[in-house]
Amino acid sequence: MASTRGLTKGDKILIFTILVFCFFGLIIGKTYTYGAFEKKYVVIEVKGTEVKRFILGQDTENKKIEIKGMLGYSIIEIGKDRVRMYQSPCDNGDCLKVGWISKPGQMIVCLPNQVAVKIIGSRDTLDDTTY
Amino acid sequence: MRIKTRRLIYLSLLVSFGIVLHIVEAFIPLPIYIPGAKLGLANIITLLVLVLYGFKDGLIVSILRCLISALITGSVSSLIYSLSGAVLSLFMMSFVFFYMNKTFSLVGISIIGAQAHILAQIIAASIILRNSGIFLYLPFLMMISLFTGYFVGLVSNLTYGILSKNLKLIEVKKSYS
Repeated sequence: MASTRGLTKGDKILIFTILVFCFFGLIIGKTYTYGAFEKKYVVIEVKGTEVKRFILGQDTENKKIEIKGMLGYSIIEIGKDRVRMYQSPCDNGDCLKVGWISKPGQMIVCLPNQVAVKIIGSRDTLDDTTY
Repeated sequence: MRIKTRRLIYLSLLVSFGIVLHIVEAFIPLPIYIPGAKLGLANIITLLVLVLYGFKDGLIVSILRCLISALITGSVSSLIYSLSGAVLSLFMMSFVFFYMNKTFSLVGISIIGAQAHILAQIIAASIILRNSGIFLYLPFLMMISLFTGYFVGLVSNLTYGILSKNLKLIEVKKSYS
């Protein structure tokens, strides 16, 4: 019966094995995540339907795009790894105040002009709702 | 009949201990915030029931513990993760406990249970999110669950030493009277 005795030899081997596995796993995971996974898309929608889609960080540097909305032309600026609303015909200018967005899940919405800019990740980043 | 009732009462007490530990551990602040990492104090109860009462009661207690604590905390979405983790870790722990008794102490069994727990949760998460990239998170969580499993093993080792004596004492006393 496994009762009150200290660590057995098997325990120590088990702990050591798991530590080694974790160590290599962390190294592999780190090299792997910086490669293929961080692909972000910029999706531009007008009236809820997708109009344009870019891959962020892939020849999108300082690109300005004109999108025709309900009121007029919104100009969206895409930087190296971020997006912002550069110019908007709406009167309140809320979409301009949002500034740069860069993370998957963030979005800029201009309600008067009915233009939305979203960033979508190719894989969802881990968050609390995952658990 | 009397033994059966006593067994029932002890098992339901252990279920309630498990629920309380499950709720209380949410209040304990962790030094660093890691999504998905928990102390897993309720595993103490699962391990104790497995050691004291055997596999079948352990399964019943851990499933009941998951269901009721999901009802109490109100997070039904996390029920899938906790249930899958509890069941797989119980299977692994009972396998190690009944067949590799000599090699591992309670600490080792608890560590194996914690690893199985995290593995089942990652598999469940990857099925639900349809995303296998989450497996890259596994070694990180394994490292943490190694320490929590060690801690849980130590606690249940100490508790087992006290509890087994007391339970036997009561059983013997009652059967003679």
